[in-house]
Amino acid sequence: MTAAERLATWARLAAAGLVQGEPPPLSRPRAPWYVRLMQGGSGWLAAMLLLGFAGGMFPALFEEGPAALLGGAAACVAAALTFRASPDSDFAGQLGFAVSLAGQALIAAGLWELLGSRLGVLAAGMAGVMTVLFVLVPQFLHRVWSAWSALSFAWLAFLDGGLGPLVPGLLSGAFAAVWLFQADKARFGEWLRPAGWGLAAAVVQLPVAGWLLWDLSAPTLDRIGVSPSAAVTRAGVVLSAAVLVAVVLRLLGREGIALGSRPGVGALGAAVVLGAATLKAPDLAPAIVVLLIGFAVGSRELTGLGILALLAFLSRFYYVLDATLLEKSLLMAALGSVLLLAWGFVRWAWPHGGGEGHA
Amino acid sequence: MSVRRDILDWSERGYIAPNDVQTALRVGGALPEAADWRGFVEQLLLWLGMALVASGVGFFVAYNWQDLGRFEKLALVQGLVVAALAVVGWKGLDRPAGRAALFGAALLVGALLALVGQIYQTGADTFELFAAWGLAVLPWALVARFAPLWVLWLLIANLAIVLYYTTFGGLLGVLFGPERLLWVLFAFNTAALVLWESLAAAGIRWLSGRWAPRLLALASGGLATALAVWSLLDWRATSGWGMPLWLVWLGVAYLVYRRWRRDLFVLAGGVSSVVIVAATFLLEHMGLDDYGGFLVVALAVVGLSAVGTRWLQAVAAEMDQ
Repeated sequence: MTAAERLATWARLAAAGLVQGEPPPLSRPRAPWYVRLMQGGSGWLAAMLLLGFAGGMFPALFEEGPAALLGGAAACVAAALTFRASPDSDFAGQLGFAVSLAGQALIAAGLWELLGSRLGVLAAGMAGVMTVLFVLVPQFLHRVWSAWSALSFAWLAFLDGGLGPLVPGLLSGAFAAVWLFQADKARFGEWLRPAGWGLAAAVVQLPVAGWLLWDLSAPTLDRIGVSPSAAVTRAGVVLSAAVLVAVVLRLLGREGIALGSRPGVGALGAAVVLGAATLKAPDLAPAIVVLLIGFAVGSRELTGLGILALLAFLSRFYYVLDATLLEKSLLMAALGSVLLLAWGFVRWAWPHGGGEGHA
Repeated sequence: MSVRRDILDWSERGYIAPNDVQTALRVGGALPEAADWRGFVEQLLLWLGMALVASGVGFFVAYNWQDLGRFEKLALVQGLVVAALAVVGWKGLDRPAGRAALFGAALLVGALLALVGQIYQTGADTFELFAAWGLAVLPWALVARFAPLWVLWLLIANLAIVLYYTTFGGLLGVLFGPERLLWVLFAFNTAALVLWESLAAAGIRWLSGRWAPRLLALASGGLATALAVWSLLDWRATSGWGMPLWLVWLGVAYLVYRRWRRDLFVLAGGVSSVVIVAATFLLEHMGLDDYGGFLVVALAVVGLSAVGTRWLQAVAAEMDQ
């Protein structure tokens, strides 16, 4: 958004009596997502090098659990102090991020050393650590990372407890709530914005990078305590489908579209069909939720993430073992045909320029 | 930056009353209107429906169902290609339905070629399937004037190149080594990028979107970075041209995307590339082979990325004016 566009927005708000006076300057320099990504990648690289340094100079850090925990905690505290002491310094920000990542790795190594055979407890412990860091470290990128990590560790803990299938539904529900109600709770934006992006990354990660996470965590998977029961698996996909329907209902309400109107019936019908398909294709509903919310809140980045999640769903579905390729092909072709029919219905029921259904 | 982000920022700082934020988002144009929703729902249903049908056919071919005869299978896939082309003829290439149908037909041609190979056991290498697929859909890409179809074509061509060199890598490893593959991919994607940017600059409107050239720039820059890192790590086993190529790529990318067609995405990619190559250089060639060296390189990475962030923010602020 250019300065001129920002002024124009302010002028529109002023004309509507929503703001007064001159537009304020930007609170801090803004960076698009790809600059944040570059910062995050560099932070990771630096953290690995710092770990190499720490491991070489102080081998006890990696050999003794208590030493690793202590060293990791000290690094995280140092990082938090660095962020708070120099909130506007790019160098301090990057250094703090790298030191914190190295500290987190040490804490994980320490917990692994002490609790190695209890994956669920280890994951729950790390989720707690990341939640504390989310609160203590006042930097956007670090909070996004902390939120995503805490949720990923929580997913592992759920997996260990036999509740893994519930995670996509729980995550997509929390994601939708944070993004849809963010505007009503703007004073908590410092927390809600990074939490929203962390949740988005957590929801999207399974279809996008699920195979990678699976490969990375495979060595630990034999430690998982309980396999999910059929009831939990069924409850998980029903929850994901229910979240999708709830999101559509909420958006219809926000847009003032009556449920009995043709657009209302069409939207709800499409949500129910996609929700039903989710019973066989578990990643479908969460990907659609990200796409819908992204468009609803006017975020191109989030919409793009939703499209990426859908593409990843299509490619990952090939490898899902719950159904044969023939069953999957029939499901996809049938669902695709229904959606194309729905497309025709939309064109008929909701003509261009028509306002039918709006209260 | 988005309107939404600005309005939420103003609200966080107390310039907008908490109860007025939703109204402000609506008035400021941050939320979609009814017409936007209609367009979005229509596009979502059309493209997701097409992608699901085409993927379903692909899965069906992969299943290799023995209960269905080869003629029925061929008739099914060919029938769908013909049906998709009939929709193209009916709707035309300027309307979303026609474009989606042509995109679907292009995907189905891949499934059809795979099916032919599966039924008749042609003995063709996998790269030949992709090469034939690319050749078959090239005329459609030429007439469609539709960027996503060109991106699909470029993806197919890249896969054909990778599979070609993978196939012959073992047999003629000296001639077709992995470095050669990276050079060929770099040359192909860079040529495509130059062509795309040139035609867009010449005023071809359907090429004016930035996502496709950014993808190509990412591929081109990523490959240049990989070649540079490889030559730094194992210069005896490589041609030695990786570093000079990377330096030239970096200079040209700076001139093009800082001076001619300002694009922060590519510049951010360039900064990432500098950080990676500099870290590799320091680790390999500065004698930093003790543990203290790791600390020096870590600080260098932090410093470079911090300077890069500051520079990118300055460019972003300049572009905002």
